[in-house]
Amino acid sequence: MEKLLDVRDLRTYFYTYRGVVKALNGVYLTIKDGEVVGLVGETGSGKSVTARSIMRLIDPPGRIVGGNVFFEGRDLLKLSDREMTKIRGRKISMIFQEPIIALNPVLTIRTQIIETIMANRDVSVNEAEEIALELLEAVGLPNPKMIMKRYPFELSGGMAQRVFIAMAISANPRLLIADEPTSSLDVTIQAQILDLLNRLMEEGRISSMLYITHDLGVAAELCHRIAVMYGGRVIEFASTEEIFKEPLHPYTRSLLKAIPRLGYYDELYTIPGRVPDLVNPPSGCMFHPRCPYMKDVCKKEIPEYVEIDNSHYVACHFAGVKDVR
Amino acid sequence: MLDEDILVVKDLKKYYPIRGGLLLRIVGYVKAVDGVSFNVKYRETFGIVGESGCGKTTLARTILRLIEPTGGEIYFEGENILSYKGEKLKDFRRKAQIVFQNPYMALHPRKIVRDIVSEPLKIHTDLSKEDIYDRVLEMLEKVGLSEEHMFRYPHEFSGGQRQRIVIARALILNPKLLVLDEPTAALDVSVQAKILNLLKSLQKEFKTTYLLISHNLSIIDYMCDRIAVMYLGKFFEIASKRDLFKRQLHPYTKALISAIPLPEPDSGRRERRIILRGEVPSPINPPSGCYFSTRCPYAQPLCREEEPRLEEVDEGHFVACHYWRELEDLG
Amino acid sequence: MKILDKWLMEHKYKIQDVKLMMNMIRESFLAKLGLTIITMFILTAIFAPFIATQDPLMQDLTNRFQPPSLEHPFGTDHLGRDIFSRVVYGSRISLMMGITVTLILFTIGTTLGLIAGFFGGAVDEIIMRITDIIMAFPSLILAIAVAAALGPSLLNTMIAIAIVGWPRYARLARANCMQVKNELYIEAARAIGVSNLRLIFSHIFPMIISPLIVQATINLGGVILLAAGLGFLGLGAQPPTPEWGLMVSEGRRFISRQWWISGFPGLAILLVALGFNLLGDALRDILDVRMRR
Repeated sequence: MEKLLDVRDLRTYFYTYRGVVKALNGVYLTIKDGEVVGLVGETGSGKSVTARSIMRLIDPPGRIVGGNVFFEGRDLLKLSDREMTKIRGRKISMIFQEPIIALNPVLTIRTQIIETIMANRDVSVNEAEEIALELLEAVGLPNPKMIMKRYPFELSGGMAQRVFIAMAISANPRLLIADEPTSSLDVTIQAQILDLLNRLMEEGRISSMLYITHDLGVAAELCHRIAVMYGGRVIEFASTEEIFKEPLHPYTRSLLKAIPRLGYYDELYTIPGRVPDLVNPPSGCMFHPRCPYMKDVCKKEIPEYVEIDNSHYVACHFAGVKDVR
Repeated sequence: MLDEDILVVKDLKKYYPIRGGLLLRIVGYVKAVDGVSFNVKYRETFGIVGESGCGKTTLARTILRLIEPTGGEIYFEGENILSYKGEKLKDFRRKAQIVFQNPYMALHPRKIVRDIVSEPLKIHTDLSKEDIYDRVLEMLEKVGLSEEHMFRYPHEFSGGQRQRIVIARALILNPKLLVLDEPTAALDVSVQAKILNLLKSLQKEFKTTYLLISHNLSIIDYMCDRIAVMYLGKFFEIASKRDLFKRQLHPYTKALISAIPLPEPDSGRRERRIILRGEVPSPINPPSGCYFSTRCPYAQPLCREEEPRLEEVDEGHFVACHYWRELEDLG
Repeated sequence: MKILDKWLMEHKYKIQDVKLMMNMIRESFLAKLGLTIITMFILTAIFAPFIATQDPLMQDLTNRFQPPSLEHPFGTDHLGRDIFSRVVYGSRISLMMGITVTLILFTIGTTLGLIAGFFGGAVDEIIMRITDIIMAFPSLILAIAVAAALGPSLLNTMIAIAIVGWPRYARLARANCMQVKNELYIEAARAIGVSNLRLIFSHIFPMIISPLIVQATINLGGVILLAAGLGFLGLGAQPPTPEWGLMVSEGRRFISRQWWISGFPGLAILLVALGFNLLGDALRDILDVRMRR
């Protein structure tokens, strides 16, 4: 499979009154055609900034200061604003955590979905309306005609997210970026949306997806490969199987042990300390102050992001060494 | 009523009137809590799980009399707290405390930590300034903070630390009952683990009874001894944790448990998952008969006509479903 | 040393606030101007006996209608009194009146507003309808009516202004109180067992004090203006009190030839009202910034 998206050494900084917040410190990430990649991490790890940097949606005081984002072989960071506008929505589209807020509150669903379709496809209003009805049906909304007349606030969170997904896939994009689309929904509704996304993948309506979440369970269910972020870097990237069965980075291991699971009642593992301050990040490996296996070299040198096993990438000095204890 | 129960709730109701029309007449009610009965034993952790809008937060606040109920009875240590006024109510506040979901908003933004944590002592005891200081420091150390934190304002702390401050304030008077309303919903996974562990160890130390409310079944499972499943203001199932995860009798409980995404690859659960139709109905116009009948995959005509009662079908295992026997045979 | 450290830590934000305030005042010309005027006004009032060149009540009929000169910087009036000294002493009356009345307004208005906002229901209805009635009248006219009914005197002027003025504070306090009382930290305090009284004054009040202080600062100028207005109409201070409004009124007969008799006290009123307005605006900006922190 060829690489659809290849992010290399991406750096995004925010210039605030407190100082420079180094939100992304060299992110590497690849997505192959037809693949779902999960991007997991805690608050402030840089998941959303990565997504927004790929879409070039970083507003001042933020700025992408370095790196490359190759999409279909072209570097998105080198495109003009006009060329980038054509990529957004048509080639790469995005869905968000709060669908009700992301929709325009004063326009009906009909207006918004038809506008989106006509912006990205060369069709008449009538054709767009037909496509819209078909899409709303495809995302599992009963009675699409009724939905079209509604305003966003008249929809529940789950319905609004379905509408948003319909709009996002309307142009048959190559890549869908999903930024925590189920985090604000209830479990039973989340299950519906995950089921829908899986079905749309099978039907070929979604070809490739970057799925951002803080919930490792959701990632396990949906993704082929998972990238774990910490302190503005991807610190481990491997197949879902390997991330859960053979995690190599100490942070990934700790995180997995910290989640409460049904039927396990031992004391939860906790990671000492706090997430790094991205204005004054720790020297060397960002994780070293909290790492149980920390050695001197971790304080001094930033570990490189390297391929350890076949397609298992890790940024840790001791990743190749089995059981450093 | 047994002596082993710290809290007994009987047929508790909280209806919010909806006003409409020109004259703002009452046109209907939101039945946030609609006839809930249960009991909590000393020193156990009782969990209430449900999705947003099921009324679990209203229930928590009603039990603490932060909201006045529309009907029903609440007994705390054998006394009906709904008749409490003045000093009695103040004394009840000393014995029953709450930790809120959002630690970012539960702390007064213009008060330093020392003043926040010492406030219960100032209200309920006549300790000297020095004694109060010592008690506050002792409590802060128990929740993992130190003396230097005493003079800081809430906005200087991370979410996890703020929740520790909230917990310190709630436990400083050594209450008998602590209501935890989604205590980690606003926190990250690694911080959540720390808070849950802290709550468990504090429970051992202070011998507190916990009433834990959450939408997250994994957390409920990790923390609780007994669990109640709530939907549209009603309890569908109450059981000990062991029973509930082995043998779910209500179809909603089954769907809820199967909906949790597990952090394991290829668990094969996706295929076995029960995906519920539609969404939670509005509590203003709940469905006739069983409230779950609109989404239940096994609903029968009877379910839409008659509301099932919550009945004890096994020792300590309550369920409100007409067809739980048939469903159990179905597997 | 340890005690000092603790004190510094405890008051870190108050110290920062003062620093921030100083910085913002330094950056804005109008704020500096306002602060300068008010500082001079207050200093004048405090040190009036040392600044005034003679007794403000001393008449000297041989020296009537003297234009401004070195000996009489603001000239003299129809009774030969030194206008400069009278303006200087007048600042005491204005300041005393402004501060006393504003304090009364602030206390009554805020308390009633907090009670109305916190308890709601019938209490709220009654208090708010009273404010509606008072605010339905133009404040000067109502003040005239009250002052006329009570009889002209300085004390009655203060009572009249207080009756007219408190509803503003009450409305502001009520609106903010209703917003704050629904915050989670207020519910948290209730859950601890904090009494209503303590809740209102120890938890809600500190959160709503900022806009009230801005209001009070801007209002101080208005109070002084209103008091001068009543004095001018003969309903306030009585002769020979050196009250600015009264002085303007006394000089009005001679305005075409001896402009200084009304002119200088008028200028004093203008400057002080302006000063408080500028300072109030600056304070609002500063408190806005602090809110955002």
